[in-house]
This record gives sequence, structure tokens and C-alpha cells, in this order.
Amino acid sequence: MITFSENKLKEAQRIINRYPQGKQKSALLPLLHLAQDEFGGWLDVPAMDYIASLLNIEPIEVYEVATFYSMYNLKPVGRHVFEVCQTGPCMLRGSDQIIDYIKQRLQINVGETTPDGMFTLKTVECLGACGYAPMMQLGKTFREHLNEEKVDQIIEECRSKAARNN
Amino acid sequence: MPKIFIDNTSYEVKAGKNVLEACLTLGFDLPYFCWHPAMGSVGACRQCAVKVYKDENDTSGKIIMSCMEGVRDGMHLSIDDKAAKAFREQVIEWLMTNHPHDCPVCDEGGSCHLQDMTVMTGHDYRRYDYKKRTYVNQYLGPFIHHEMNRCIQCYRCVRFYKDYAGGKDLNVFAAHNHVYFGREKDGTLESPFSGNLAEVCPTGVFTDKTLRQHYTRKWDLTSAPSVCQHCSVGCNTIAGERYGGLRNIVNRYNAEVNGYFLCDRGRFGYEFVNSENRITKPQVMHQAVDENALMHHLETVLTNHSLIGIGSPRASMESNFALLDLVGKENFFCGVYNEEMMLERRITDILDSGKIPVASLKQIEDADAVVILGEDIWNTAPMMALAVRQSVMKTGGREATEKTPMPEWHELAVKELQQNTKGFMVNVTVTETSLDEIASLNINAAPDDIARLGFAIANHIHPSLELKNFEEAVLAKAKTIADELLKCSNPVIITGTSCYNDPVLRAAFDIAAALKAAGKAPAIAFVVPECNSMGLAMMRGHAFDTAVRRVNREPNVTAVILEQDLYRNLPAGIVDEFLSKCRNIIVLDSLNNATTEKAHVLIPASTFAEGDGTLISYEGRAQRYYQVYVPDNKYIRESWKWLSRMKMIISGKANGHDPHHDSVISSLETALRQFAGISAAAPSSGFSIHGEQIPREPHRYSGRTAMLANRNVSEPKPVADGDSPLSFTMEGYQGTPPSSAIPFFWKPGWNSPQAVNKYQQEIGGDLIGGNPGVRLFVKSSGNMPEFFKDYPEHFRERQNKWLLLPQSHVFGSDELSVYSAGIAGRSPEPYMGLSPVDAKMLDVTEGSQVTIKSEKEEYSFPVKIVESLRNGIVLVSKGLPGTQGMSWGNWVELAK
Amino acid sequence: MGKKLLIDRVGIEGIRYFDTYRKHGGYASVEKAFKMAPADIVEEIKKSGLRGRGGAGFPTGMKWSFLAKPEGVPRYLVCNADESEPGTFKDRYLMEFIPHLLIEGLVVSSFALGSNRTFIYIRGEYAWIVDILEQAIEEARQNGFLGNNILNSGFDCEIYVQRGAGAYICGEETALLESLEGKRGNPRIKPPFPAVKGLWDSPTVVNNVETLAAVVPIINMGGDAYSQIGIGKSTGTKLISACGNINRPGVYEIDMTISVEEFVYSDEYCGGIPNGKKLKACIPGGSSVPILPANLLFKTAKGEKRMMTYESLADGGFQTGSMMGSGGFIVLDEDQCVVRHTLTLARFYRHESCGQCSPCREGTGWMEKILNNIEYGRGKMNDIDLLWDIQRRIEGNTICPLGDAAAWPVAAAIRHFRDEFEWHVLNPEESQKRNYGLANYAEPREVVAS
Repeated sequence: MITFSENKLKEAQRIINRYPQGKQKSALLPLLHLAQDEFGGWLDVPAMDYIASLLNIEPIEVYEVATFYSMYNLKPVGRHVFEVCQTGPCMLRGSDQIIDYIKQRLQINVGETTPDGMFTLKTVECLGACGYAPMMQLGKTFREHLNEEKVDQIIEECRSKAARNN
Repeated sequence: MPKIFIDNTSYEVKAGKNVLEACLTLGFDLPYFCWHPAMGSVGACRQCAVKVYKDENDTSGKIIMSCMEGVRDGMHLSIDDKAAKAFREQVIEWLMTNHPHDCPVCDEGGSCHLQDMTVMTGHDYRRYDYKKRTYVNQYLGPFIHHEMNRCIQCYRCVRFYKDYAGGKDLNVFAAHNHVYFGREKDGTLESPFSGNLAEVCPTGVFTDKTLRQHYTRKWDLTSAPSVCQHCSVGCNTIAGERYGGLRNIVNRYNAEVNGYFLCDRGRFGYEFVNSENRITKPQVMHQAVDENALMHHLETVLTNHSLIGIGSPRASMESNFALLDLVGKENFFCGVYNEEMMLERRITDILDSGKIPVASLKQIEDADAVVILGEDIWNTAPMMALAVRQSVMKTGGREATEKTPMPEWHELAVKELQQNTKGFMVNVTVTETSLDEIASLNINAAPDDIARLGFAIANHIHPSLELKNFEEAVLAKAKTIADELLKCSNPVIITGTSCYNDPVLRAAFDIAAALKAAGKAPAIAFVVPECNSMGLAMMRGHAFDTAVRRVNREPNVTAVILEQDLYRNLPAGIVDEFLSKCRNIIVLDSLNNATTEKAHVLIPASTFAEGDGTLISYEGRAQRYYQVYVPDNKYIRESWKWLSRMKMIISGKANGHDPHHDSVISSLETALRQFAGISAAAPSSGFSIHGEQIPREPHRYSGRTAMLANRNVSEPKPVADGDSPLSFTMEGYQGTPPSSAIPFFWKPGWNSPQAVNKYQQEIGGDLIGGNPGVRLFVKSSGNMPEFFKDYPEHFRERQNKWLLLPQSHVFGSDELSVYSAGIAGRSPEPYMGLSPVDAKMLDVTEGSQVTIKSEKEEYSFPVKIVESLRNGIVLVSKGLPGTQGMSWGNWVELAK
Repeated sequence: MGKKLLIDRVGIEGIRYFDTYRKHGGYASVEKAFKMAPADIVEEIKKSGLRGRGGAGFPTGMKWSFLAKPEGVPRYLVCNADESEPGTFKDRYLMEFIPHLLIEGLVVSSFALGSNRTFIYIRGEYAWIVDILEQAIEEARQNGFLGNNILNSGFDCEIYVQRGAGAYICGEETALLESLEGKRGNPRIKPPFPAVKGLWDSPTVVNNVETLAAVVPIINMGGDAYSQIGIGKSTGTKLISACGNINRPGVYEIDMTISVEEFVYSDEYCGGIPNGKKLKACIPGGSSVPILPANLLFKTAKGEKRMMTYESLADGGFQTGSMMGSGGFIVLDEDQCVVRHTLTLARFYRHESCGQCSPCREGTGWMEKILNNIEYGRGKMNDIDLLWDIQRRIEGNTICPLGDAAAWPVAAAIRHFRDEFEWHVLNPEESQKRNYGLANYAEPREVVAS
């Protein structure tokens, strides 16, 4: 069975304790984020079942919630997930071209992962960075004012990071 | 009563209802999807829109969802308003954008609420010309077929399955226009109420898989009002037939009994009717004979012999009475285990006294507290368990809405206010049950200790006896429970025969009596094993032991055994002894079993589908089931018809004609006073409306002229039904029949089960003309103590002996329903439950084979360690293969 | 230059940290407020005329006064930081650059409302801001502005940050509460209102980040003084996040006395349209409010100068006006295609519909499909009427306002730019190659529904 590392478990417990007695289900969203971070960027059934057991709720309640929110990946994703915003304000500043450029650079379509498992390209709806468009989310941070050069840089950066970590 | 104006006409409506309920009650056709009378409103589908106006001068008005608005005095509404109509049509158009346009080949077609509502709104032109969304369907087990593409996202399925019935393996997933209703992955739906999805779903996402296997359009079914045969609750059903086979069972609304729902055993257990194992021809000494030969032989064995009859807890009142009439009162015995019979006697005594009213399922739902003593009703009376769940949830809802008033129908708001608030329910059982999770208190104890707790509760409520040698802990628990009960006004006490323990029944009575003495309005429910156990018990036949003694004493006995496998209910040794001593054994039954194998004369009896009869449910409610169809096999007829023929043989009045049902029922009423009034359970055979009978076939029934053309090109004359006011045709009275004789729910524009709206006095209320059935326990014979007071001794383990108790299973413990493949497939393997301490003592582990030794029999089962089980008890799966005839409630030895 | 009350200190180095913030007047409102009775604080807020900054513009003081106070039941304050309306990124700016302002506002508001456990529900994508906020909270606690017995007042308060997980609908207050309770973000049907039964069945106030931050200057300067800023009922200052085709996209604080024209062209704010292009249209209050063509943006239909106030932006109703909304100011230049822009918004709303009620769940998807066809040259003339018909039936008929939010942009686009839609239908090939450009939008036209 999978479990959190000791630190994460402490973190989980800290979150659970925020809520009044009997309302521990409220910790579900934060715990799913934790699990996604801990277990390879996506949530498989054992991970969700584990969260259910931590909160003492039925596994199906976890699936119900996890499938509702777009940030939980229920399928494996690449090491780096490019989540490019495509909503109005970003579109006005050229997000379509950025998406096309990334597709061409990585040779994948939206929703796909590169064969080396390095990159996943997703299009997302407004991330609240309209003034800094076009933009994408990469991990915990936003990459804004994108252009082709910046995209190249980001791809390079990810690759060299991966090379360092290997 | 508030007065509301609908399109400028005023109507009086019931306060506290929502506008949709009010409009439907008034007979208006207003479309809806997500609202359900048993589950309330959530305002999701937006289909039931009407216009509401500030006052009579307001001409613009505002569109509202009628299900989300309570009626107010002086309210002005419009259903016909152009904008409201256009909006309702638009909602259908939205829902239909992705719905398959395959009604002609869809199995829901013709009984589809979505189809009806589409027609009702007038939507007929498709403006959406894009690809429809599609989903992957799931395998949901043997009962329910899944076709997700048809889904219109009304959320009724999850609301029923999860919220109403407490199921844990069906839910809604994903979001926006891709929400998905199903399980987390393929697999059998675990809830024993899953079949209701087929009726709750307004279209064909969830359909009856057993029907699909021998599919027939709803309008092509010959159907009749029926009563479930698979437990003592007596749920009302409609059974449908075509081409000589039973095709399906659907719910027949009865506000006091099953409401809108059925359990899966009742819905899917019907396939025994179509079984290969049916007895199809009379047999004499295992040789098939024709009717003449049979009658001839019967004449020899019936005359010049001493006759005894063994009555059956699963045969109709008519058949049991015909047997009694044939053999005489003093020669009528009950084919049930002695211990069980004594308990049933006790129950009928209590109920007959009229001191405490019996609780109907409706009363259980409405109860503000429930105490269950020693009965695992989830497995022995599933629909009662569902009713208890509603009591717990509704009481919790009422408590929560006390401070923040919220109408009961406002489901989501009530749920939000309610959070985890639940009504008071104590579940005192031998071992853990599926109802535990909603109980305020779960106590697992040995039967005697369950009884003691019960007496202690009663004594706390109304001190009537001196309690000696009671542990403090028990008294404290009793006090807690008693204090809670004293806060309630209409609590229900539920118990039953499963503990094989008389003190448990007496304790249940004492609690109810104490509550009554304390000024409450308690009701009581006793669960008994079979669909007519209560009826048989009321006949007060002699114990089976006496029959054994009789045949041992008397050499020349012809025993007539009615519709039962004695080997199932009684220890094999005793049955063997009995049968071996009978000179002649006549058995009437529908399916071959161990007892029929021993028959010298075997007579094919009809099942509920091929005959008429009356069953008496746990609440003493006499309910009539009607013959659904005339079987091709002319030998298959009701036992009461065969038995009446035999009576004629004896009396020398044989005329070759069968008696009519009316005459059997009226003789029963005359002969046995306790059944007075039973004839009112249904209209007599002579009943007609404007000279017309009630057709079993809808007017759209097809193929009538051709379906039998393989036999005769000219359409045969329909068979006349001499026993009921129903006809085997599509002709007849097309209006609303008497409530106990509704063969199908249909009204113009309402082809789905939702047509029941049109048969109710008010939506979700009683049927027009009252709910079916007559309750026989209404009179008081006054022959009862105030309190029993006689509590048993504390349960003590015995050296090398274990108290043998049954563990019932929704699927598997019932004799007939296991002939349905789906139900057989869901039956567990039989096992023997032991407490961890006992297992250790016997040095056995989970799965070890252990042998049970009773007086004459030995049984061997794998061990299952049951944490919640008290030491000194052995629990064995009831009714499963290899568990027949066990001496329940007796002490047995165990050996590795 | 207008008055700045919220982000005036953002330029100060280190303002993100407690010490600097405190040095620059931070947490003074807490000290002041804790000497007041909670009811008096509510009164000040009422006096200030502060209106909810999340989009609906409901008077905050009134919302606070609705909060039920049953005995023995906890009350909750929840800060809505689920900023997700396209065009809106002001809360993010505030939380990222001056987090203590929000914490300060939350402490005061929690005290006023009696919330001992206050939550900031922040959209899941703002992950790094969670760290910033949690650090600020920790600093505030270290310095005695959070925790038990704050400033010896006997008042205890904890603030927790909870991340959402990518659902715009959770910005709707009841959906937010559902999500905070660990459920799907399905909006609840009201009543009961959160002020009576909100989070975990307890009375709850849900306010936007900016609203709660505005509590700080109101307490500092007094409600009356705050109400003097601005015009009429548009009191105080408002953060506007400007984006799209402008020279200076970003977050601006305005005191609601300037005109729209000034806001677009002044170098203090948007700085005009890049590359000398002409302005074609603008969505002044976040993607859900009606788009306005240039001619209706700067002047109302009555010919009056349009101001950056709640009232003026709404002047003319939906026929010729729009809304202040969340303050997400989206500018489209002459090269932009209104159909394509509307398509992205329709896609957004389809994606963000919770799936609970039929009009929104089915209607948004259908509208997206039609717009997609029109945009890609597969549209038919009657598609435009159909689109109009669908949005008209969605509006006002859904459980929560998402239906309206999805319908309005489509309605306004057709209302004001119908000829652009028609041009797409009539010139399928050409519409793939070039944009329609500026049209003659001199007179607002009535659109008659089919």
C-alpha cells in the first residue's frame, strides 16, 4: 500500500486539524494536492483510496470529487506539464500561436505527452494572468509574456533540469 | 387550505407542498425530471418551469421552477403562459441535444418518461446538428444494464442509490457537460435496491437486465397486480407476461407498504416461474399421468385413509384453507419448525390483542425513533430496512429544520441543514448488520441478553418489574435508550423470529407497552420468515411434531403436503421419519425439491403468476395477487383448485369443475373467524365497471391476432377469468380500476411508471380508493397481559456447545428467488460464523472446515471469524445449499 | 491622480513582509478596530458604502448585517480568492504584493463578524501565493495579530488558506462553500443563504479579497470619509485589472472619478492601444459582462461621458451598457475578431459549468459548438438567431449566475456585432484569412429575437 512520507503525513495531519470535529472531509482537496505532488503528478486509484482512508470517507466520495476538478490528473502526465491558457484575453495576445509553436517544437498535440515522458501539453482555461498574456502554468509557477524565444528557453530549462536530476 | 390561482382559475391546495406537487395533484400535466415524490426537489433539470405573478395585476410575471417554490395563499401562476411553455420546450431541446434518437429500438421506448415529457412540451424539431457526446457503458452486474449515452443528467440515480438507499458504489463523476453516472469501475452494483434505478431513471440509462434477456415492450405485456413472494413484507408488484413466460416485475405503488420501490430480491427473483425445474405433469409413483388417471388414483388414496394436511408458509391463504377444508381443522398441521411456530403463535397473540398497532412500512418511515431487537432486517425484510433508513434520515431532517424552517421537499437545503443529524435508531442484533452505519447505537448480544436489554428498556420507560442480576452497563444502556425514546412521540419497535427466542418478542412488546403507558403512540413490527408465514400462523394449525406423532401412531395416513420443501425447514431426520410413516404422500408444488421427490402423488401447482391468491404480510395485511396469464400447460393450476377437487372426490360431488375464487374466500371467512374481512382485500370476480372488466393488456397491445397463429390462424377466443374482475384481453374498462386491481399504470401521455401520479389522491399520497390490502389485526381480543415481565436469565456459554443461529442473506436465503440466475450468482457461499475467542478455543482459523453436530444431522462449513459475535454462538448462513433443516435456536456441538 | 488606498504601498521594498508593512502603517486598523464594538465596525462598513468587489457589487455592510448569530453556533468568514473570471487578476496582485493588507482586513473583519476560524479559499493555480499568504499569516501570528487573545482583546482567530483545484464555479459563494467542505463545487439553491446556513451549516460571510482589503482603509479613515471618495454609490477605490490590446496591461487602483476614455488612453493607466491601432471593443468588468463597442464605451447612449463607476458602466442596461463586474477590463483592438473572442469565452463557460442544471450544462456546450462553426466558416445565417435564442433561454433560468455569465457575452456580441457574425457566415473563406476589422457601430441596434 502506498503511504505519504513522514513529512507529508505530518502536513496532512496539520491540514486535517484545521477543521472542526467531524468536518474532516473538508481536507479532501488539499490532501489530493498533496497526494498528486507526492505520487508522481497524478492520482491513481490507490492514491485516492489512501486519501479516503486518511479522512475516513468512502473511496467513491474521493473519486466523485477528484474527477470534478480540472487540476487533478487522473492519468499519468509528463515530467513537465505545459498548461497554456487559451481563453479570450490570452487569445487576444497570441496564445493560439504559442500553442501551435509548442506543438511543433515538442511534436505532440494538445493532451499528449512526449514519448520520452518529459513534456505534456495541455490547454487550460483562464488562469488569472490576463495582463501578462500569453502565459502558461508550469508546476507551481506561471510563465508569462510568452513568445517563441521564451518557450525555447523554458523547454531547454526543463531538459537541463531533468539532465541534472538524472 | 391555501387558495392558488392557476391560469386565473382558483384551486384549494394542501399547505406545505411545492407548486409542482400541487399542480400534479390537481391533475395538470406539468413535465419534470429531477423531482421525485419520495426524494424531493433539487431544482436541477429546470423542466417544471411555470410563471408566477406578484398579484392579479402583474402581467409580466417571472419564470420559476415549480418544484422549488412552496404554495402560498393567493399565489398567481400560469402553466399555459407562452414564455413558460417555450422555456419548458427549450429545456427538452437541451436535454435532447445529446440524447440518442433511437426510441423505436430503445428498450425504454414506450415506457420512457423522457419520451412522454418531450411529447408533453411539444418539442418536435431538432435545431442541434452536431455530433452527440458518447460515453463508455459499464457492466453493472446481473440486474441492471447501463446505457450512459441516454443520460439526461437529472441526478435521480445517485440521489436514490446513494442518498435514499445508502449505496456506496454509484456516484456522479466529472463535471460540466461530461458528468458521468456509474460505478468507479465495472462491477456489480452492491446495493440490494439497485433495481429501482430502472424505475427512478426517467429514461433508459438503467434498465432491467433480466427483461432485456427476454425483451418485451411494456405495452405488449399481459400484466396483473401481484404481491411479492420473497419475504413477509408483502410489497405490491406488477408482473408482466408474454408468450407464456414471465418477463418482469415492476413496482406497484402502495403508499402504506412499498411506496415507489422494491428490493432486488423482489424485483429479480421472479425467474423461478420460468424455471426448467417446474413440475409440469401430475405424477403417480414418479410416473406422469393424465388428469383422469390422477383423479382415479386420488380417489383411492383420499378415501379410506385418514387424511392429514401440512400447511405452507409460502402458499396462499386460499390454498392453505382449501387444505384445511379438505383434511379438517384437527388434521391441519403447519410445515414449519416447532420453535418457529411457537414464536409465530406468540406474535399473532400479541397482534391479535390489538394492544399495540402493527407498523406499516409507511409508519416506520414516519416514526421518530426505531428500536430493532434481534432481527437483521436488511437481510430478512430489505424494504423494511429501507423504511428504517428513511425514518432515521427524515427525523434528522425534521430536527435540523426545526430552527430554520425548510419544507421537507427541499431536499438539498434540508440535507445541508441536516449534515450528520440523524433520527434515533437502536440496532440490537446478534452480529453486525448493514443498518449499523445509520444507527445511533449498535449493540451485539446473544438473544437472551437482547431480550434482557429490551425488558430493561421497558422498565426504565415504565417501571413495572424488579430487575435482578442486571449488569450496570446494561442498565445504563437501557436508560440511555429509554430516555431517548421518551423524547419521541411515535416510535416503532421492530423484532422478528430470526433469534428463535421468545423472550425477545416479549421484550419488544413490553417496550411498546411501556411507551404506550408513557403516553406515546408506539407501533410494533414482527418480521416472520415467509410471504404467508403470518397467514399460516393465524390459522393456528398444529405443530409438525404432532403430525409426526400422529403418523407414528396411526398406520393408514394420507398426508397432503402443500407447496413446501419440508427438508428446508425441518431437520431431515424428522422429515424422513414422518414421510416414511405416511401411507400415501400427496405433494402439491410448483418446483421439484427434496420433498417432491418423496411424493407418491405429485401435483403441479401454479406459482403466483399463474394463479390467484391472498397473502398475509407481517403487518397482518391481506393482499391479493392475481393470475397474470393462463399457462399453456393445463395441469398447472392453483393448489386450492386441486384441493377443492379432492374435497369433491371425498364428498362424492365431483363434477369436473373448479370452484371459483369467491367461494373459497367466503368459506374461509365463515370457517375461520380471524380471517373475517379478508374478502375486502380485492373486488370479487363479479365486479365490473359499466359492465366492463379490467383488461390485463393495454389498448396498445400488439400481435394479438397473430401471436398464436402457429397453432390456429383464427384468433382464439380469450380465456374467461372466473376468479377475478380482470380479463385476459385488451378490451374492457379503460379508466382507473379499484386500487387493489391495477394491472398497469397508464394514462394518456403518461407511459412510464410515473403515470402513478394519476392514480394517487395526492402526489406521493394514497391511491385513489385507498391503498390495497386489508389489515386483519384490528380487533382487540383483550387476552393479553399488561406486560410480560418475565425476563430470561443472562446468556451463558455452555461447555462444548454452541447456540445455533441463522445468518440471513438478501440473496440466497430465500427458497424461490435463487432460481433467478442473477440472484443465485449473488448468493454467498455458506459459512459458519464464530467469535474470535471461540475460533481460537477450537483452534480454527478463517476458512477451516468445521462440523456442526445436532441430534441427528451433521453439517460442515468453512469458518468465518465474526468480530461482533458473542462467544458461545455459532452463526450459519440460512437457506443456502447445505444448510437446510438446521435446528435453529438449539445448542449444537462443533468438531474440527 | 486619483486616490489610492490599497496598492499605494506596493512599490515599497519589502512590503510583503510584516516588519516593513507594519512600519508603513500596517495593522493600525486592527488596533483601532479592537477598541470598537463589532457592531460598530459593521456600522462603519455600512457607512462607507463599500460594495462587493467580486463582481456582483452587493453592499458589504448589508451582507454583514444579515449574518445570523444564533447562540453557541460558530460563525465563519470566508475570503473568496478564487479569482477566475477571465480578465480579472487584481486579487492575485494584491495577495502577491501586499499580502498583509488582506490578512489585516481579515483580522478586522473576523473580529467584526465573530469568526474564530477564517478561511481564504484561493484558486488552486495560485499555488505560490499560498506560500506568500501562509508566510504572512505566520508573521502576523508571531506578532500577535493572529492566534489566541489578539491584542489582549480576548478574541481568538486563525486564518487558513485552502487551495481550490481548478473550477471557476467555486468562485460562486455557495459552490465555494461546498468545495471548502470537500465536495464537488455544485452551487446550492438559495435560500438558505450562507449568512444563515453556510459553511458546515453555520452562519457564514463570503467576501472577495479586495472587499476585505478595503476594510482596512475604511477603518483607518472612517466609513464617512471613505464614502466621500468616488461618485454617488460608487464609493471608495476599485482595482481594475486591464488586459488585452493595451500598452500597459496591469492592475490599477482607481477612485471611481475618472472616465473610461481617460482610463484607456491615460499613460497612468492603460496607456492607449499599441501600434496606433484603433479600439474596437471592450469588456469592462470581466468576461461575463456585456462587451461594448467603442462608440458605446466612452459615451453612453444618451451621449454622456461614461465614467468608471458602477452606475455609469451600467448606464443603458444591457442594450447599450455593461457592468463594473469584477473590474476585469479587456480591450480589443481593430484587428481582433469578436466571434473568435466570444468563442473562447463560450468554451470557457462550457468547461466551467458544474453540470448540475440543464440550461447551463447543455446550453453552454451548444453555444460553443455554434460559435465554433461560425468562426471556422461553417456557420449558417440562422445559427446567429439560434445562438441568440439559446442564450436568452439560459439567462435567469439557472441555479447559479454562471448561466447568466455564459449568456451575456454571447448576447452582447450578437447585439453589437451582428454584422461581424453575418460576415463570417457569408464569407466563410475570407473569414479564415482575415478579420472583419472595425465596423460602423455608430448606432446601437435592437436585435429582435426569432
